[in-house]
Amino acid sequence: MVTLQAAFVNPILKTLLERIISKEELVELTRNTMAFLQLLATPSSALHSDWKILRAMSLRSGLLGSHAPQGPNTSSSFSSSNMGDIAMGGQ
Amino acid sequence: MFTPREHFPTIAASLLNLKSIDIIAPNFKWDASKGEPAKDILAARLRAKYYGAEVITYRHFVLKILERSTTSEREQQITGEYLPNIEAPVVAQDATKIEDFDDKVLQYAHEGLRALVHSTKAFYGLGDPGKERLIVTNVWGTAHAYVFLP
Repeated sequence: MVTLQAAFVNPILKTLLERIISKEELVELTRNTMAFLQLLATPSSALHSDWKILRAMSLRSGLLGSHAPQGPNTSSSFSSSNMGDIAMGGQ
Repeated sequence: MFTPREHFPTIAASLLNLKSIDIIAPNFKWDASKGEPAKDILAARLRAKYYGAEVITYRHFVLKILERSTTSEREQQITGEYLPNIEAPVVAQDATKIEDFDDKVLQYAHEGLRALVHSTKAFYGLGDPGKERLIVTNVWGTAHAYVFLP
């Protein structure tokens, strides 16, 4: 997706790219790829970084479409009570 | 002065080997020029690998156009040239407009972009990639490649 994004904003390659795929289809590819990453990426993982890179590029290139997707769920599935931590109550 | 050549044996040889996929895997034969995604996992993986190999073959020319049309003389080039014994179209140092590029370079770049699109769509026949988890050997490596290869 990174190369396609770069090609889309390059004046020479965009001429070639437009013969192959429309902007709307490129937006769909971008959103599908981001959804794919979103399904797999855990918080702070390398894939989460990939998602952020792709999102930043897509915002600049205009290939994100009208509804910018939110990132992978960053809330932790573990709480301190589940882990048996001692609560640090103030005195 | 850059003189266009008619034959580029190394690139042509690579492509010829690639296109013999219908001999190597006759049961999975498909029209690679259309980029239709397969509906079963084995065929989809084969097509993804095939289009990925096309991307690797053509990518140099896509990157060269990106490099030549956006970087200044002082900036370091993104991609190296081929080794001397590799016969491939050469991109002129001062090429910045589409007219400056050899037709063969533009053709290979066009094929590279086509392969990039097809490789991105290779698994689309298996369901919505954002809803149905893809079952492959290394899904995280596949996802990472999805971002940085096409």
